[in-house]
Amino acid sequence: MAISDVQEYIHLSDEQIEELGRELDAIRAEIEESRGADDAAYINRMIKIQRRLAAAGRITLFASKYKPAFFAGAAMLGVAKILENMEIGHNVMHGQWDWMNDPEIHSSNWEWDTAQPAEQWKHSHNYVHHQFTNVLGHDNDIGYGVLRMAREQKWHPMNIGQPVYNALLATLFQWGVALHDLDLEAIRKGRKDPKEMKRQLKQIRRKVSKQLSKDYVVYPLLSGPAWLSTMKANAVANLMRNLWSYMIIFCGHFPDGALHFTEEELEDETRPEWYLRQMLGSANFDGGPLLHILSGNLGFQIEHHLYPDLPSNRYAEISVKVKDICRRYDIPYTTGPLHKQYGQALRTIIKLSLPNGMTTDDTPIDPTPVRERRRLTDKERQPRRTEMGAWSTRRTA
Amino acid sequence: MTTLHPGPDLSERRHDLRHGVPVPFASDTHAGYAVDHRRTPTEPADLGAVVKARAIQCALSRVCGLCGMSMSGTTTFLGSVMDAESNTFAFPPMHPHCVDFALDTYPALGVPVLGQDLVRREWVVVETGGFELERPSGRGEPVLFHPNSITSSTVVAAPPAG
Repeated sequence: MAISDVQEYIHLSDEQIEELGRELDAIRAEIEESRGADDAAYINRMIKIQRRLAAAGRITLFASKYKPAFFAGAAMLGVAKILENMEIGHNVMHGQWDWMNDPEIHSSNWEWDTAQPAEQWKHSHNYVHHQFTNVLGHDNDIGYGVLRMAREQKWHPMNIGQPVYNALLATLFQWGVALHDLDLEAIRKGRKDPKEMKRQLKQIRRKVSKQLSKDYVVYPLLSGPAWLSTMKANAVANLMRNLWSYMIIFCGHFPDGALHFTEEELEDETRPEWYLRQMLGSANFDGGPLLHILSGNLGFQIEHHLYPDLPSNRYAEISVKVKDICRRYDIPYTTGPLHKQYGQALRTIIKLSLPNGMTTDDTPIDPTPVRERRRLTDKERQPRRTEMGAWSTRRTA
Repeated sequence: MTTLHPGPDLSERRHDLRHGVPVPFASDTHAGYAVDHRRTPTEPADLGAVVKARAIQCALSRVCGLCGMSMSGTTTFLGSVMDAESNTFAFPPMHPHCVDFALDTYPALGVPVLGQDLVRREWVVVETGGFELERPSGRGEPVLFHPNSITSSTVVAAPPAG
């Protein structure tokens, strides 16, 4: 299925799609023009809170032989790791704060507290996932190479074990992500350049050694007699981060209503079509400010996919406008409470462990079934607008 | 104090047989994501072209348009005087040392290079903290870059062709 055949927006004329693109461009321009000191203060505050929390957690774990200190230290460290990975690392590496010109808080320089090297994340996530969002055969985030997440994917008897693979993926999430950019599918098919694979493996080995020595050697040794409980608490903190980030990420593209695509026309899709694919392939979840901060503002997954390099603290205000656009253009805006969104993703994992014939499709029923959904003919359409928008008047040298 | 940069690592880049120079990552149809490494390219490289998929990859993955390796430190754009005036660049950002190499190597070939459709005598080097990516608004239109926090802009004369 090409993007232009997707039922959810086939009712729009070319002119309406262009107009929708212009409206989304205008939201972007507004944020670009207004970002400044308040946004910079936000990310600096987040980094300060995260570092204080991590330090408090590490210090508390010196007394981790006592149960209250064990649990308090592990919880503080776990939350610090979640903040670092979700709201800080992920968003900094998208270039959301590059405009500040701060050499530390910069996409080219940030290295995050997880096993995957930042460079590989910027390829597998920023490029492959964000460019080929929900495109089968390209976006390796669809099931992370181990789960069948779309009915269009061929069923294999190995899929019966999906509930177990899913539990393992959630528990060991940082290690799964660490191997993500190796592209196991390409290796299996012999398409992967061996030199590139060797370079990546070397990077992963270096990063994994650093992470393991930090959490399981250096800090336990610093705890002296409490070394074993510190080591255990660090493992608990890492597990907390693994389970949380797994759940948030799976809520972004797998609840009912988030669509999958095939690769036709992607190379030459226009910006408005790209916007549409991002909107239709992503799903939000509802919650308060604290939940959104702890999830890296990925509860606004639709807005994040439309504007991955705009500051995450602005997604809430952007979402009001995007929701309104979706309503006016009759495009689905998939959202719901976190438990419902994750429940749907989990149900998909379990259902798709079986062949399609044994399960029912959970694709939501068209919200406006009475409306005629087809492309307009040339005669029915308004004449093409001749004036040029701001994007196309820019000189291309 | 002068910072000495190592030369760019272009060992992974294929060479253009006509001019004997490395094909920039952003101009190479046989580079980047989803390209089968076993396939040998048969078409000659167009050193002035910017491959749309590579330009987007450079922008999103934060990799250099010349060497294809991860960006670190300063983000640098290279373009014509007109590009600098309109703050619109067709060629993706590069490492500073890759810009030096590009200026020494490509303009002297006397053909359009690095996202330009004309031979340029004057170039502008723009250093910036970040940039905005402009995706193509219509079919066949280019990917463009707009630096958003410029720290310096320097006009450089290219070495004569030949």
